[in-house]
Formats: sequence, C-alpha cells, structure tokens
Amino acid sequence: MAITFDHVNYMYQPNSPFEAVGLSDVSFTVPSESFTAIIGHTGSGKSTLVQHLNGLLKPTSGTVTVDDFQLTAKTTNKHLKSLHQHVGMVFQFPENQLFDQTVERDIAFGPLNFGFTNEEAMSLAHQAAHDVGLPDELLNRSPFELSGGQMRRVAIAGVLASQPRVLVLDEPTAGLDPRGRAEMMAMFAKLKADQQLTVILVTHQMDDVADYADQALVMAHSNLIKAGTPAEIFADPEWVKAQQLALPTAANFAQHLVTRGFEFDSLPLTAEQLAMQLRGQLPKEGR
Amino acid sequence: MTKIISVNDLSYQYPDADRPTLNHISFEVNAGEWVAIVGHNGSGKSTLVRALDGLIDFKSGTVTVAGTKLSPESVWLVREHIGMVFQNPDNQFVGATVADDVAFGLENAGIPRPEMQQRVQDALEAVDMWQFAEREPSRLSGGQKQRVALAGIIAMNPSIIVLDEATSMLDPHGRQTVLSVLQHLRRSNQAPTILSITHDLSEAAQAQRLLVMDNGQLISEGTPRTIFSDEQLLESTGLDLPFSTKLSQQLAKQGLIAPKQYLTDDELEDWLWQSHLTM
Repeated sequence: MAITFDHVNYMYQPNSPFEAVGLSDVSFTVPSESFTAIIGHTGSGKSTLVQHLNGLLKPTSGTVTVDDFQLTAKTTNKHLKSLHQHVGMVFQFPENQLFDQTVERDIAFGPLNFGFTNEEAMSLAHQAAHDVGLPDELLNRSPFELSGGQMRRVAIAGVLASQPRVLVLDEPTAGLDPRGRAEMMAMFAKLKADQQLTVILVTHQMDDVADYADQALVMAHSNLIKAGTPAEIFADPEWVKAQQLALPTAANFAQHLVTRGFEFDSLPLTAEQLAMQLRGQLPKEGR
Repeated sequence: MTKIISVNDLSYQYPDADRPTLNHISFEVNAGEWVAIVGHNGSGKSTLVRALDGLIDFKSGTVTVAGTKLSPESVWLVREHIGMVFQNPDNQFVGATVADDVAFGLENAGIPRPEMQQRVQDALEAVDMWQFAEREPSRLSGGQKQRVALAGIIAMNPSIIVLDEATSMLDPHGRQTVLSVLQHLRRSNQAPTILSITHDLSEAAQAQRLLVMDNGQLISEGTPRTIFSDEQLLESTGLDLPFSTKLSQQLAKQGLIAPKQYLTDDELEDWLWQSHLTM
C-alpha cells in the first residue's frame, strides 16, 4: 500500500494557550511494499507523524492518503475502521499492552474486533503466532509467564493477525539483547517479503537504516528536513553530525580511513560495502 | 589491591523457576576497578547485582561488600556502599525538579541543608547538568535523564556504582555522554568501583575486565581484548561481534589479506593504513 502525505500540518491543542506545532507542512510518498525508516532525535515529530498513519491523529490541514483512503481534518472516527485494520501499529514496548488470559486469545483479539468469526480469528491467530516464530505449545499459556522477547513476539503477532498491509514499528527492538535484535529485524524483513508488506520503522539504530531501509525520512523540529535513500541521507557526514544524528558504524569507520588516504566513490554504509570498496586499495590474500 | 566485592559460591532459584537463575557464582572485584557483566537477556546478570544489594533472599553462598558480609542484619550497611542506576530513566524520578531529585537521597540520609545544597551542585556539575537544576526531569532527553539519575548516586558518594543496562535505551549520543561522565568520575577523588551490566560492546570495551554469564553461570572472564577475540564465545552467548571483527571477516570474503588476531577499531584502522602503504 502506497502512502502519501500532502502538505500535512498538525497543531496540538489549537487555539489554546498550549497550542504547539506537531507537524509543519510535511509532504512525502512511500511506495507500496517499500521499507522506510524515520529518524530524528526525541521530540522531532517522528511519533506525531506515525500516529497519522492509522488515524490516531488527524491532520489539522493537508491530506494523508493510504492506498485509496484519504485522511483529513474532516474524516469522522466512524470511517477510520478500515484504516485501523490495514495499518498495524507496533508501539514501543508493545508487551506492556498484553492483557488476555492466554497467548491465543490475546493474539485473536484484533481479528475478533474486526468482525472475523471465532473460528477465523483462531486460525489467523495461529498463523500469526507461527509467522513470528512462537511455538504452538505456548498458545495456551498466559502471556505473562513468557520471557520478555517472547511477550514482544505475542504483541507483534496480535498486530499481524488482523492482516495489515502496512506495518508501523516504533523502535521495536528497544531493550532486546544483540541476538534478539538481529532475530527480530530479520523477522520483519521476512514478513515484509512473504506478505508484501509496506514497512515504516522509527529507529535510533543507524545500522538498521543502512541494513534494511529502501528510503529514510529525517525529522527535526516538526519538519521533514530530508528524504532519500540511506546512501543519500548519509552522503554528507557534516550535515548528519549537525543534525545530531550518528553515521552507521561502517560509514563512521570509512570516514576515518579517508583521513588516512583511502578513497571511496560513495560512502560505504555496511561492513560488506566497505570491504568491497577496499578491493584494489589493499593487498590480496596469497600474493 | 583491596577486594571491595567478594562473591563466593552464590546460587539462587526463583520460587516458581525450574532451574537456578544463579548457579555457583564466585568472583571478586578490586576497589576502583571497572568490571562489565555481559550475557544475553535472561542469563542472570540482573539477578546477580540484585543479590549484591540484598534485593533477593539467597540461601546458598556468601556476598561480602567492603568487608561486610551481607545478611539480613547488615543489609542497610551494605546498601550505603552501593548506588544503582537502572535501565528506564522514567521509572526512577521522584523530585519535581532536577535539583530536588538529586537531593532526595541526601534528605533521606539527614544531611544538613547547606552541605546538601553543595553536594547537589557538585554532583550536577560532575554530570554537566547544573544548568538544568530547576527543570522538570520529565522534559529532559534520555541521555540527560540518565545523567541526572547518575548525579543522584554521585551525591551520595557510594564506593560502588552499579549500572543495570543504564545506557541501553539511549541513542548513541546519549550513551556516549553517560560513558564519558563515568570515565571522568573514575579519575576524580571519588574514584568509585563500577559494575556495569550491558550488552553494548562499546560500553563493555571501557571496562578493565569482563565477566560473561550464560544460563546462570559465570562461563568466562578476562580483559575486553581476550573476550572480544573469542568469536565462538560471543556468538554462543548471544553477544554482538565487534565491528572490527565483522569488517575483518568481510575483507577475507573479498579475498583480501585480513588481520589474523582481534584488533580494536583504532588498531584495525592503523593496520589497514600500513597494509595500504605496501601497495
């Protein structure tokens, strides 16, 4: 599902003494089935932006288009249901939102709510549990007896069970250990490929942007200040630093090598890209 | 060297668990040392430091902190030596302003007001947050919040500071500011012993010694260099490989000469430069 923001403005508490700008004239397009990262530091407007994707917030002016659904200031809450079903949101620490007595019932809650029969909802729940790698024997356990990583998978399965076409992930790996982080990011990449999902990832991990994103949006002070491929975003390290953002680890290392006389056609963003660009600048094995 | 922490054959099993969370753990920490405890989620790291602070009631083994053996009678004495900073900064604020928050522990300890004010100021200056003294803690960034939490600990002048994944929710910039405050603190007169639980390799690299936990057991210990050299150990315990190791692996994949042993990022940079010059 393609997503377009067309001159979207959002004011918090408009016409009151507490009026504050949340989004200022934001326009961009996310192609269907792409992976988009949203970066920028705390308070830059990232969360305000993603809350427009499923109508948790409505623009004060401008239009958000998700597939053929249009969200404006005038959209009534009654019309938001199809948007809610098509755009799945995974918030930070989603395990805090688990509530039901069994894993199965917790995951099936979304589909039941969207009008699927009990049987359909259970089947969707089992499929979603399988997709996030939860073993069947956990389905009848209480979600609160599981490990932190498993609880997070239950919460994500609960979002996937409603078969969204767009998956919005707000720092989904916060608090996980390195192996858990890598496994979860690989899982999202696989879900995206298998189910042709459009993925929006809010993150502070620049290495994830380099490894997974097709494009990135940079937010600062409620404005969209840059949009492009990761290579375009990180191409100017001085600009990145001025925005108080970090470079991917490999790009940072490559910067150091440039001061030592190495040359790169474009700034490498991953260890693999860096090693490839070092061919011809380093001796080969076995000579 | 004076031993400030001695843990001897410590075991603990949570009431409903089917296996022990701590399984015959023994180690010692020297006064002034920086030790990092690494291992994946659920390996027992957090339970171990909770045992040091008397927060879990273990039945088997002994813990001795600054010469005092931990017991129900001595627990308050032991806690005076230990200051803890936790993962989520939002869960640990009690004051309406940054200064009030830092003063909380001192007020509880009955420190006279003029001395308290001085210690609050000194602690906030140590973490470079004095200019925020009258601000609301909830309006700070993650890195600033953890520096305030750290100031609350510094003000109490404990001999041991424990960081329980204190930088894991911070962005790279926030993490760096917290780590540089700690480096600075170690060179100050307080020179506390630091015990940091982490799975961030850049944080672990700052320590003098690493303890590696897996499945409730202490499976390895050594300098960061020794531990980071052991790729198999890092992978089997769910830790990340250092960037320098990842790049060396990629160089070999491209058919290029790669270093044969572990190098830090800086050392690898030098090594690549030397290698480049031979072309």
